[in-house]
Amino acid sequence: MKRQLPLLGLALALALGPASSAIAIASQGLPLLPPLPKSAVLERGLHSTQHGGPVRPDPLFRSGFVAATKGPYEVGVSTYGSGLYLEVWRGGKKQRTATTYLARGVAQPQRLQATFGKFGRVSMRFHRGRIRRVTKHCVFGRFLVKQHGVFVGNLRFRGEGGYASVQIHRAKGGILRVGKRCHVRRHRLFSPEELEELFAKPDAAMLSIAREGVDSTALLAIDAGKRSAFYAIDEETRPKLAIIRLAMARKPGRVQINESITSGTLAPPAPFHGSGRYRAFPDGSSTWSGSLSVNFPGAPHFPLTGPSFETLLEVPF
Amino acid sequence: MIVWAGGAQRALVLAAALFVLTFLLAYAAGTAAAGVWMKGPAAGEAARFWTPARMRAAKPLEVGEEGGRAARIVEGGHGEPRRIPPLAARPGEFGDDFVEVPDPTAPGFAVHGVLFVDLGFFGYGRCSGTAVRSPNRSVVITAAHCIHSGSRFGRWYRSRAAFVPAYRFGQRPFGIFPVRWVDTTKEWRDSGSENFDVGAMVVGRNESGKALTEAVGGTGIAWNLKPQQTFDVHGYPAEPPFDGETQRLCAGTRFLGHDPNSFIVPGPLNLAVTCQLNGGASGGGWMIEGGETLNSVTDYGYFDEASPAYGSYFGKEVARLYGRAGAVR
Repeated sequence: MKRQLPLLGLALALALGPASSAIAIASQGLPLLPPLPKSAVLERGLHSTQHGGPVRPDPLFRSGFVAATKGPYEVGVSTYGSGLYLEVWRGGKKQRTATTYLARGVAQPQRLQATFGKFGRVSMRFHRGRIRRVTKHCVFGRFLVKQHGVFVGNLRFRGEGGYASVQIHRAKGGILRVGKRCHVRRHRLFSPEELEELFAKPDAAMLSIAREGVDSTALLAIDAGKRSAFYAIDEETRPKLAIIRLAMARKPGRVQINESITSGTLAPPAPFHGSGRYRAFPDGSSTWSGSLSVNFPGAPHFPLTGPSFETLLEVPF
Repeated sequence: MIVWAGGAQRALVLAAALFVLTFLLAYAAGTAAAGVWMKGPAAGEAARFWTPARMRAAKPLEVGEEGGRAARIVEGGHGEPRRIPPLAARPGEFGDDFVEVPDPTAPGFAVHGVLFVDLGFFGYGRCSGTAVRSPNRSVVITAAHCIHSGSRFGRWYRSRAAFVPAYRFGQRPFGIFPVRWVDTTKEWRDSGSENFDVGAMVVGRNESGKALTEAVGGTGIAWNLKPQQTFDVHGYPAEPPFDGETQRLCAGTRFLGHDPNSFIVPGPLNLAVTCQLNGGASGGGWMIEGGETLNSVTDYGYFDEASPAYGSYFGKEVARLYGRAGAVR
């Protein structure tokens, strides 16, 4: 049996991937965030223990749009491999919460069609308009070519408890494709100092995972000064729908782990609330308790501690 | 305007047409005859090569990172439900989940076994497999990643491959069956999608000249059923705390749902069940209807202990694969 990455893979791909989220479509498809610091805990979370990660679809194209809403949330629809996802989010690059509803349907460049269970459905077609508008950006040695246009059809969505709802028939969007190779000579991606910082080990890191059947919740904390990052990811699967919730804070918080890795305290910044405490006992058992929670879109006061969590800690020698 | 100057040109045109026709026929035959034939050893030679020490040294076969980079959109899915009834007798009532099978030679358990492969410099590989009823009486169903690394750039694992049903502590109660032919779902070879991780093998006769299902029986196989089934998951897990020397069973484990990762790669959504098997259990049979009918095989799991086991849905692609394997002579 192959051993693969846990839920972090898909969720972080959706959050960080260079061509993944609806925001990426909206913002010319550029990568949202710099990579996370190198960490053994993160490596364990992102890669299998033995033979690499799972299958990822080729980023041959991404197609989607962002719908205008009245509330605090934004709603985007986009393709990702064979899936089509509807993402509801608030916040920006430093702090963000999002809920993604992932379903199978028609995920073609010109056509988006899927049913998101009781939450709604989308059926939209792409029209490029009279004036053809294409923008190109060189990202990591490849052109990302975005064809601008309008999606016309029907999008109806109402989140859990009506926390966000949208019904539109038309939205500006685009189709993002990976183009030819390119070279950027004028700009360096990272300065030598930034590169050194990128490969620096974090001061402390923690990964905590709880799983019940195919549903799972993970909490990842990386304490690395200015490059600290905190993520909470919850995945649940229904018969024809996967719901992935993500909360992110990329700013310093409190991560205290003692040298013997027998106790630790975690108090991440907003959008997280409260703190969690880890304790390991001589008999090999451990506890992860406290008031730590997060408000996901559609799932407020979501607890991030409890006896079902399996926790890994990391501190430098 | 073509001017026929004489017999020489006519002969030349005829020869060219014949060449094109021959090429087209050869191409058609090549595409129809899917699967790979193996220069496998005879049963006696395989028995000499696969000593108990070598079988114990075999490591679980896993898919590499390169195995699945080129996934693309492939139609997959459902159709009319179909069943092939079993040849094997029903297994008796069994105890709790996650237990060792005390007698793998008992009816219903003997159809499950271990696939061994010589990986050359990399040592020996192993997976689990299940003997299935078929016209040629020699078909074993396993996971595709046990015989091919996936995607267009994948490679076959086929050196000295052999199937040992009812394996236990280096013993081969029904002998050893050298693998003659292997194939996977076309979509696994094209895209490496986890949702199509099913493979089939055709094995030769054992040392006493018996065909596989003559020796151990053969399970039925079903496809296009609804995923909400109760499965008996068989396999030979070989990573700690297991040692790969005994057959294990998670009995009566129910369908839990689909992996969210399954939504983004091509093919029908995979199946999850509660069963803490690990490396070596890949390809192990997921039996329904009281252990009579094969309806999935173990594919993968996540590293945390509470992870379910995931198996591919048996849809029309698996039906085609089974048809191809059963037609091999």
